[in-house]
Amino acid sequence: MLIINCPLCGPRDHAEFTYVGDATKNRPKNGDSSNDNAWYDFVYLRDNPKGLHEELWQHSFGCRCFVKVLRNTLTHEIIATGMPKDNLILKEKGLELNV
Amino acid sequence: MTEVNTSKNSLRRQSGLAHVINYGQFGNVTLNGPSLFICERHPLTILQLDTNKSKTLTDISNLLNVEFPHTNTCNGDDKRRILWLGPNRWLIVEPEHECLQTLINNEFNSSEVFLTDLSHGKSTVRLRGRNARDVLMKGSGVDWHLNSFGADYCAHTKLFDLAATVDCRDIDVFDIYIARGFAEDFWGTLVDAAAEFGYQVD
Ligand SMILES: [Zn+2]
Repeated sequence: MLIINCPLCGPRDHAEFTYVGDATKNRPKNGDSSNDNAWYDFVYLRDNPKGLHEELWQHSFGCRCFVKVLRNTLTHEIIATGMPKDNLILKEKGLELNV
Repeated sequence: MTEVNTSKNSLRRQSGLAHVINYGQFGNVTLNGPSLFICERHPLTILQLDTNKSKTLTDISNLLNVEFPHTNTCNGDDKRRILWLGPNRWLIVEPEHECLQTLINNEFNSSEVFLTDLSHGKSTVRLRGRNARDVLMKGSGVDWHLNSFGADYCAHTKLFDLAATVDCRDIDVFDIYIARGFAEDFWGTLVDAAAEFGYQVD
């Protein structure tokens, strides 16, 4: 069982959460067709990192908030959690994002 | 269980559990008597309130005479209770005696306060006794220890694989709110989990 520490509710079983996806993707600012490549990247392209990964989960059985999770995809260790605006990589100094 | 209809405009509340509840003592009841007591709380007015206006919140709190609780906690008593559900979201619960929704809507601008009546959609079970925390432990990974989850704490969690809101009313008293559609299933699982301790249905 993985335990995810929701910043609001505290430590909970991961089964209470829904996986949302890669938290490193930023939504392109405008919808112009000139921005198609950026949108294509945002909607479809995902890396498959071995190691640390910043991802979003939703606490759907709890407070329903989105939670940012820094997880090691190799060991499943959850290193840090925070609100979506938090930069967990910066928080956990010395850790390099392996993408 | 008798049905009461006191608010003029609401439909008659029907218990979602009345047909599955058997009263009496069951399971491993020792000479000391049952260590768990289970009953349905019914009929209740259950409203979900959403607002991000702190001034409005203070005004509603004055109207209801109960302060809005902070993260993971509840305020109030059996007559009227407010539970924290999430950021800017609360659950107001009271035994049905008036149309609370109308009372609040008459006083406040509906574009600032969003009320959803969940009274028909929820079933409420009260679990009390010295083994109540042991039963909760079987159904969810929340830390139910008294030090982390004492009186006036609440948790929204997956309890026996169902979405549930658990309100700690007192050290060994818990109100559990579940979706009415799953109430029958929940009841069955709860009494199974309680059987080893011996329980009484009131
Ligand atoms: Zn949460």
